[in-house]
Amino acid sequence: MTIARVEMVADTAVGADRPDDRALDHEFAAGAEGSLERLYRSVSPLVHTLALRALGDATEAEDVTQQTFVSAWRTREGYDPDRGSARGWVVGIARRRIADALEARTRERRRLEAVRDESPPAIADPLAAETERILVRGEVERLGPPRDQIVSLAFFEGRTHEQIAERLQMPLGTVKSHLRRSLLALRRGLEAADASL
Amino acid sequence: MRHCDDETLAALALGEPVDAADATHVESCDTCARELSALRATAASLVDAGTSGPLVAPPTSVWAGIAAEVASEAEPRPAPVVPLTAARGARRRREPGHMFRPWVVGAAAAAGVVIGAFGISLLTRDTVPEQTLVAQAALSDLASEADAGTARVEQRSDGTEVLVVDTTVPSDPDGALEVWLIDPDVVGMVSLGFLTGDHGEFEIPAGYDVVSFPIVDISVEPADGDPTHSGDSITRGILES
Repeated sequence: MTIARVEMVADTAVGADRPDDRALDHEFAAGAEGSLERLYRSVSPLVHTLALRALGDATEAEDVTQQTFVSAWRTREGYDPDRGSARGWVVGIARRRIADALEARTRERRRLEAVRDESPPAIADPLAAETERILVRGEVERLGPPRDQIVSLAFFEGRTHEQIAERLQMPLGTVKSHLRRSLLALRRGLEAADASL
Repeated sequence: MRHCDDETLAALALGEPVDAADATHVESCDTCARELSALRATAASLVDAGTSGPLVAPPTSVWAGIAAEVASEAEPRPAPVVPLTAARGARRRREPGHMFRPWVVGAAAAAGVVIGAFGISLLTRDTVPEQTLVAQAALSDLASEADAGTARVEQRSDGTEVLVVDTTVPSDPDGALEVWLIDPDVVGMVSLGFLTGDHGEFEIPAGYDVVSFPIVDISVEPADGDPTHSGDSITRGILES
């Protein structure tokens, strides 16, 4: 009993595991009004950044983002909230759209090269590593305040726990507790993100 | 000894000091060592993500484009349901042109999935979860206006809301009895499932609540494959908190 109570207190202090996301998953599956917009607010920066880095073209990235969400809405009956988050599902659609756009581009380039009789350049794949980094960024953003900021300061900006505590006017123990719980949540989140692709 | 708890493993992965007993345990326990290694990998991927720039939100024109595309395929159509005063004798099937908007059908289909899952969980559950009464309604037979039982909305301990219907079902209905929640304008509605006896329990899908959908409606649905409301309501009641 004592252990359970201590964990409950910690949960209240540090924030439970994104119950809003679960509600949104079910609302989106049911086609509830406003659910697409809320999903868009939540995951469009991740989708747009993935498209932008992969395609390197602002117009194409915006087009892929738009088509991803339209497609998600039209095919939502194929989405099952019991099998994963709507976020993960949308990112999966986005990655297929991006792959399609790259594929179309490769075909076009090969066609031109055949005409010019040039050999194709070696295709490097720095994209996979960058995609992974963007997905991690997306998971951090999803933690929500104050955990997203604490994790950004600790890992992206290399601040010490003491510096973070001072900057956010937060007890040092609370900062450490947020970081531990964020790490656990991110591990689960990244596993789920990988599983849904 | 017991395995290390998650918090302890996270502390180790972050390079924080932990109890000596935990530190010793993790060195000799494969399970805990594997967990620790996975958490360290997560920490390393966070450091790596720092080399990439922050996420870039799309310009507002993108949402406008999505909203326009989605709106163009969901044009409102006339209200398909008979008014509250409709009597059972007034049997009329809607014309095919008066189909529901697609999202209502989608919502009904999704609700079916949820109810299916809930039915299984009811069968496998050992103890009855705690419940709170959210709203209730007295049901009336629409033909005779006689008392036809009750409907209650209960909130389970896990937050889901369930519609519990107790009514006397006709001994020989002309089809299956379907339970709906309908909004006050009798325009929007959601199917909760089929009533197969005098007592039925139906999970209310997330996004629907008794304030927005206060009318409980039981309709007779012929087996014609049409997922929309037949217009043949036999019992109704209004939920009050």
